[in-house]
Amino acid sequence: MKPANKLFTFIGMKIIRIFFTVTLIITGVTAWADAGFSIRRRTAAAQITFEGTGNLTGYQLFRVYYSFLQDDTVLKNPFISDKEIMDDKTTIVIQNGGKRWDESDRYLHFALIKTDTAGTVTDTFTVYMKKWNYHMVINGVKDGKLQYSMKKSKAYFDYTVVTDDERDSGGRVNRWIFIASSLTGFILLIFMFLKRKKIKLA
Amino acid sequence: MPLIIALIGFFMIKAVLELPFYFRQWKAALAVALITSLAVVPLITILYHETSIDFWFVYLGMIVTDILVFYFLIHQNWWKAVPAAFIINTIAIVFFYIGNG
Repeated sequence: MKPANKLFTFIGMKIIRIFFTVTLIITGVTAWADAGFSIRRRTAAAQITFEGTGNLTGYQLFRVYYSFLQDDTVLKNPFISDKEIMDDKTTIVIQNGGKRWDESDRYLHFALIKTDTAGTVTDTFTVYMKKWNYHMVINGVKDGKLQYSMKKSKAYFDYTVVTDDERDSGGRVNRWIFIASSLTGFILLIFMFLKRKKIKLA
Repeated sequence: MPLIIALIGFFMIKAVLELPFYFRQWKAALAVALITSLAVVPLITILYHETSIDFWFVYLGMIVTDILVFYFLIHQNWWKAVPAAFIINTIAIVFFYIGNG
């Protein structure tokens, strides 16, 4: 075998060895880190709150349906059986339970209903609830239509990757796993940099 | 996003996107993709979740680091290192943001 070919084989073996070593390190370290905490709950259950329901003189705002489906025909039905009056204290939290907040999405259907004996529906609207918190500021009613503005903010799940609770040593361990994992990468980079002329990666 | 998925994602993005630039040095490119992923992903995950650092600085830092790494460890050519680092890190940070919400 020519010296040049020998050298290439040596370089190839070296790189393959580095590749497998790093793969093993990555798998081991990250699996360990994931066991300590999970970064899966990226968004919280969305919620909607109301303000200014006192401006609805002669009307009431109802949540009339709670549905998985977008194309519900329930609003066309004059006989609304499921309803809940909205006031300033009302908070609707969309939460399916379990771990997977991402799947907790709902279409909330609202109806503006006249407080007469017939209970006429004068306005309806739908709010899609997922990942965003809504705060509805109601200004009043004009020609039977609800006048409102909607403020939205992102529904962050209140969690910390690394807990500072001293009683739970897992937080500190996780932080060190992260730091060690990152440091390993940087040390390997420095190692590759220092050895670059001998290995001839370029 | 779980750390292992973030790491695998970063490695795949880097490995695939480095190949058009460094096709002849593919072994070195793969090794660099793996090691830079290992170095960067845990660090930016902890920065994202535990600090309020402006991620534009992190993004720029990642690009500068990758430019230097590509230049010194794969192939000494700025014309390859700069666009490769920019494209790869832009896609990687978008992936990171989508994954972490």
